[in-house]
Amino acid sequence: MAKTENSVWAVELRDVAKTYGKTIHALQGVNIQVGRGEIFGLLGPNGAGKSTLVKIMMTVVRPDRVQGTVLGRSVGHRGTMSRIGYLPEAHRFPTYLTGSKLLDYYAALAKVSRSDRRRRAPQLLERVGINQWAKTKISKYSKGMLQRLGIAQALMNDPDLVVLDEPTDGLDPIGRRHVRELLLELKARGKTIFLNSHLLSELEQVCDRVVILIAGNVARTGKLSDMMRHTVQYRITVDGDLSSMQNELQRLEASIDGGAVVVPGQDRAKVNKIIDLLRSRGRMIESVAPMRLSLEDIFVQAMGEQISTAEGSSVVPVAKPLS
Amino acid sequence: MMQTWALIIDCFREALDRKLFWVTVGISVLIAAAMACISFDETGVHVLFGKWSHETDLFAADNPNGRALLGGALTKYIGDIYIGFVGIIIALVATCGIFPSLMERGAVDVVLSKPMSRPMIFLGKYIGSMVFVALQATIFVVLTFLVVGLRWNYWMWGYLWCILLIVVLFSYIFAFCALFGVMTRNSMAALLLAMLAWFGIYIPQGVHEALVGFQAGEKWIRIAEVVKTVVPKTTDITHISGNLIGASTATEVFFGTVINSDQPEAVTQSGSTRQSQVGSSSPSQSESVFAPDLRGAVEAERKLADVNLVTSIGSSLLFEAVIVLIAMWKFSRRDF
Repeated sequence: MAKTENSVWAVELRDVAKTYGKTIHALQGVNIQVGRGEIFGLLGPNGAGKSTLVKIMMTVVRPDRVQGTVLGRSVGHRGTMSRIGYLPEAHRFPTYLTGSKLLDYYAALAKVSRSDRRRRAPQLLERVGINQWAKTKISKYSKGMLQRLGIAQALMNDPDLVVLDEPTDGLDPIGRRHVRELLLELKARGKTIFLNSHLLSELEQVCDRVVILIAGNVARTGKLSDMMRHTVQYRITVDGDLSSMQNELQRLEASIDGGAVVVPGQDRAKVNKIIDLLRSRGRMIESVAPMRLSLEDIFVQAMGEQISTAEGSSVVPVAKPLS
Repeated sequence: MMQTWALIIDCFREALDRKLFWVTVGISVLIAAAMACISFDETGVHVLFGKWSHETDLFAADNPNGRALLGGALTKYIGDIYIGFVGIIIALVATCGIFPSLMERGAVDVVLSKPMSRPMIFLGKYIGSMVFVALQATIFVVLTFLVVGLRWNYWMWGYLWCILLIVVLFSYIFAFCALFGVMTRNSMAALLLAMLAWFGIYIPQGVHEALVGFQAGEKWIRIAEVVKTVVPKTTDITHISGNLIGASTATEVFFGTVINSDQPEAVTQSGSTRQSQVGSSSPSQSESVFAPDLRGAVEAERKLADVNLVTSIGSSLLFEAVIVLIAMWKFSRRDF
């Protein structure tokens, strides 16, 4: 049943399931929620079902079952599709078209009026930095240029929801920065952005909320800030040898990592106690840095839990300093 | 409408990109030029703008028999060979990739994400292919129509129907091409399988024509007719085009004579009584030598050409519609 336009969720999918053939369970009852106006990141290892989930949203793949809404209407509602922009992974655009003709073609399919198409195409080509190639056939475009064109294509209908599958694939560092800036600009204009990317560091820089899919199930979901707040640790860098203090530090649940003492958790009293201990032993404190787990660490942790569930082992993430 | 138009234009651009459009334009111009080298008038046939002439009034456009022979020459030879075979193959080559390229991974995703139903996407591409072939057909037919009018002195207005007939004939075969394109997602496989299907649907028609030609028993001809009724009747198209311009039969054109069937009785070689008589413009030319042999062949050809336009095209389009619906259903149900 379709919900109203006023739902706080731009995307709210429940119990999404898809099996290819009889044995490949790509999605096994996935639930996700994407708030309006936020940047949402979809993570997962290869074969986790990310692309299948995106393709179900975009009606490219037919689900075994799905409930919920996209922009307040049931999944696949044709009218709503005109409010969605989509850049697929490994896209193949018709090479016989020029950049501007490609934008015009796809925008016409999205029911964008002729006047809007003529106005927006040069603007978007300018925005993604390939305006000078507008009249050149796509067959002559580099991979990075194709990716920029793909992003422009996804924005031609001025969508409320932008679904981007690996948007920085093939882009150089400058291009990636441009895409990040563009995403933040879209967010500032109230657009909802659904990102599927392998580049966790990039997602970490822009996403408000993430979901980690593993083997067709949601392993983690929530606001990125919440996920990271719960995984703080402290790193005390010390001038001097620490090996003789190993037992004492272990009793305080701290560990030695090279020339530093790592204190897990957020217990500042314990950190001060360890600092006192180090000073009492004549060690010079160089720095005390609160640490957080990166998105990659969270991802690896989620993967580790999955593996340990399966094999009884664990993967230990490595923290990085708070920026 | 905006979306369908965009798909049609895209089909057109894709087919143009294959360069075969310009090949067909080139062939059309060459055929028209070759036809223009020959002219017919009341004094005779003139080749290479009068370098070689043969005096005869056989092909004079100022008499019905001459017009019938000119129409027959155009539809039974040029029509049969180019329009009914070579032109269709070139058009198939140009369009066989339309559906496989639409369904390429990474390409289909964007199109399917647009606010258009899958059947509409399919139909847009299908119609686009037809429009492309219609343009090719228009160029060929209009060029040859002009040559016939200007050089053969015969403005054969009924010949313009051939534009539509070519598109109809192409659509019979392209339905298979679309189905196999959707099933295999491979241009070459779609083309080869469509040509195989074309051959397959020719078999019952060929058998029927052979039975009529050899004047087999009525029972066998009736059975062949029933089988033929089911499949798209590709061979009927040239008969229909000939009928529309009152063309003579291929045999009559070949032997340069017209056998009028509205003349008093004449006895054929087999001894049966027919309503026919040799009525060439130059009666002395062929009557005594060819008439008995020709009459049976011409009668058989006329019998084959006696096609009910509505029934033939209607039943063929019905078959095509079934194939198109299967292809559309497969396209609509498929995961990409």
